[in-house]
Amino acid sequence: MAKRVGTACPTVQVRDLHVALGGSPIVHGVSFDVTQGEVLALMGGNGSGKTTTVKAILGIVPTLAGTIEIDGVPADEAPREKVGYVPQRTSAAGGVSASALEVVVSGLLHDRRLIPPKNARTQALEALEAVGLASEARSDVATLSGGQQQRVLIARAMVRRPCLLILDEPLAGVDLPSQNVFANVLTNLKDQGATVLIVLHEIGPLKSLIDRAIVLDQGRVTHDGKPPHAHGEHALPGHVHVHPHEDVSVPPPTGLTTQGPV
Amino acid sequence: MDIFTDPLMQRALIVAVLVGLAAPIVGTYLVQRRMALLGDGIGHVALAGVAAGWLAGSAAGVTQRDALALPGAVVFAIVASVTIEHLREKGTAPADVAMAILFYGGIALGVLFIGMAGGTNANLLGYLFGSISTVTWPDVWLTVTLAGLILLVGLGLRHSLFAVTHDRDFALASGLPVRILNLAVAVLAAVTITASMRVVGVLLVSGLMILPVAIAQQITGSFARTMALGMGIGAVLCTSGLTITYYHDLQPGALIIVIGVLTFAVASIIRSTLTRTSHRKTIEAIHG
Repeated sequence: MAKRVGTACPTVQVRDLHVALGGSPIVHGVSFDVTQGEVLALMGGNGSGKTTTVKAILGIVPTLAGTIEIDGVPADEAPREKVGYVPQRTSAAGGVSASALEVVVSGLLHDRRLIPPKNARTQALEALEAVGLASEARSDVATLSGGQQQRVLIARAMVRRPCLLILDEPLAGVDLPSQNVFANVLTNLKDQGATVLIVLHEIGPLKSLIDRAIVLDQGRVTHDGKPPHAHGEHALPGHVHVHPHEDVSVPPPTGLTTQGPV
Repeated sequence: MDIFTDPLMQRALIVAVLVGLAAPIVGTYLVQRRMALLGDGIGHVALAGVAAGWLAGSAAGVTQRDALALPGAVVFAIVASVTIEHLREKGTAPADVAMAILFYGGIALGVLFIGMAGGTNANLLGYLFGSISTVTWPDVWLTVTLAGLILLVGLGLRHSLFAVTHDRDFALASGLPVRILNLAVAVLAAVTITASMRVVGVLLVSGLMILPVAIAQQITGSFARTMALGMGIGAVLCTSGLTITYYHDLQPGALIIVIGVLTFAVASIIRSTLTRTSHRKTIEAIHG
């Protein structure tokens, strides 16, 4: 698939990020860049702070200190029109049924658009078609399988044709067909030159698509370089194996200016 | 004179249809956020607003002492809903605790204020249980205005409001003005409660917001269809309840809610029967 013409996909710059949740510090001085067109994996075990880091980048959780920039603009001011987000699972309250089509249409809304465009339905159906769920467009998402629900969330992120895509453990608890759909989506995005930040428990089947990996441990960067090897097919969730010969260039904890809250 | 030529019934029907259409719009958003009982908490504070309006009317020496009752209810209900939203957002108090505090505080303040105004608790009964048969043309115009606001915002921003109530994290990541949209739902809830107060009263106002949505959910599987169907069901419930009370000496607000509860029960039974039948056919098909 051709690269995007005339579109420079956004970069992400995180500097000395500190985040606390419920009074407990989770992220301690994390710094990294995601360059244009790069597919960066953010890895680590349970409680390592990877989900909190991406939520801070997206403005879902507040930061204590540090700066986050998307394409050179403070993240809370950066336009979100071309930023896609796939959560690990929906945080939907779920009191009222919602069709897959309605969920995907909501992906067309952003800071500059509170009402969907006239062709929203067509766009949403195309996005559902791309993840193999066009036939379930009118189904209540709560009645779909876990893998299908994850595909709906991918369609919701893809419907706005993102140039920067942030995904939080998109393969967790997902069936094989959904994993294949996701791999195709990521391959197409990579071919188009999109910038991708993906949270992973283990590198797994996506290794060939990952340009670089950052490993977090207890809220600190412990590896920044080539994707670490997983334990093959027997890898356990949360167990990331870093080879000592691999490129490791972790920024020093000191020397970075702590800036105000983002 | 029949039901359509009686001026009293004309006014009551206009108010009933408008409130029946508007209340389920906000009810859909509240059910989605699992805050179906919010209406009760705000409703009781609205009662304090009614009494405060009554007190203000007495102090100002206006001829009709309850002339400021509805404006008082609007102000108190909006302040209460914004306060609940603020407490929920900040995590200062759990939503159910915040609602309970408002619930009891509202009732207590209402009784105190009405006493200070020289009224009796009987004066509050019309607001507790509704008094649609006493609506005046100014009441009708106020209801038209409030219902118009609910329809305009609740339907006009339905996609954004759905996005925020369905998945807050995604809405935040998308840069949607989540706090403003949540406040909009809270203010709409306050306006709906005030508009519905004359039809079913504050004690039953949540029923008018929630029951049509609960019935619609037995029938449909999408957010938009639930809201649209809920609006239709709300209008039918209100007009049918009102029509019956024209011919029989029954309390309209209570009858509307009872019809709603019965309709929900019937819809639930039909749905579970259809689901069981469908499952049985599937099992029979599998086993040949």
